[in-house]
Amino acid sequence: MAERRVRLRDEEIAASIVDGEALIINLSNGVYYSLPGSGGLMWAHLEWGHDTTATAAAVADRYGIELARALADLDALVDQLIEEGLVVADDELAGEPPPLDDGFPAPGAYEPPILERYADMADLLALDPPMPSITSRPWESADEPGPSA
Amino acid sequence: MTETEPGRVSCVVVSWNVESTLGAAIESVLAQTYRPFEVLVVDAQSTDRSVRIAESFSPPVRVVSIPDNGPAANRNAGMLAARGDFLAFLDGDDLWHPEKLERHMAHFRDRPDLDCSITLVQSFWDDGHELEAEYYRDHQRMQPVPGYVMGAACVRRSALDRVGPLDESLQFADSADWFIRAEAAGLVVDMLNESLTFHRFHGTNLTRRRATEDAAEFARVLKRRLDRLRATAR
Repeated sequence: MAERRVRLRDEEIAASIVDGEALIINLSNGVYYSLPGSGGLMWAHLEWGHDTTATAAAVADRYGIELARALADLDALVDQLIEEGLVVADDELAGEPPPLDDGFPAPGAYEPPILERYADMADLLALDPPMPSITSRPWESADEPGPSA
Repeated sequence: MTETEPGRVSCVVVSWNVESTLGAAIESVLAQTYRPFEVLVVDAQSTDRSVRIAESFSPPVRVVSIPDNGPAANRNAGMLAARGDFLAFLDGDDLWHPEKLERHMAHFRDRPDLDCSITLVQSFWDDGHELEAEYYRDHQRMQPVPGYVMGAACVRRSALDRVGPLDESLQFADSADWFIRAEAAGLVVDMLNESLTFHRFHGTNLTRRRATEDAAEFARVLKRRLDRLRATAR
């Protein structure tokens, strides 16, 4: 299985880890996601810039499972994250980031990651959809297309 | 217990270094077709002319000065000082439609079960941002959005007391947290499908929500909600 790297779509996505659980908010539509357990650990490593092999190794080490199992579950999760528009594949990321001092709580038994999706707060969270910074002044670039609605 | 006077609306205007916009905000309250009982300008140690501008208005405008402990503390101070049995909030850089309070009060009359009435929020650009206004005219962010924020809400005093004050440890997500707690408390919240609140974009508030600490706050608020739902489901 090939190594993959992803990048957070941070123009529209905000994410944070709380008590080992990843909370991911799509600011453009107010849908939010939760990745508890092993998924939170996977998210943290991916967001830190680790490739799938390094991330799976960290998960396998933390939970005491085989690397191949962690890699297979991670690969499925990455597909899902891309499909939901939360991350994009980015193999151009330079260098390997330093180890992640994640401070995660002690793990229980390993369970494959489950991406939970919540649209019930969409109205509440979509009040302030993202916009490029006004300091970038994109209209000063003749080639820059207008923003998408 | 707070003494309330039936049918009267207290307007709480949040002020913190908003000298260029505060006068217009207060005037938009005073221009209401439903006359507010009192207008409390709650100022958190502004270092510009905000207090002087607020004090230049006659009653029912009153200035309440408080320590600077963030926007949630500002609104909480307004709740404590307010004597009406309905409270409506306005940020000192935003504006109300002249019929906002009238529509809210009609909403409450039509829906006796209603605890909190909100409106759509229409954003607009501050003077000096004409290029941005033109560039982003069709952007998603310039469309009216449901106003699940204190600045677009009119709330029954009794409902505020049931949910409790805003969480003053939150700098950005205090309104979202309050509405989530309102949901948990069983409050009836309904939206008027009209843009009656106008949110001003200016240089200092545009990218605020995307800051890292902002995302972390919203994540904490959502985590608390998920934990509560999971505990209930057990």
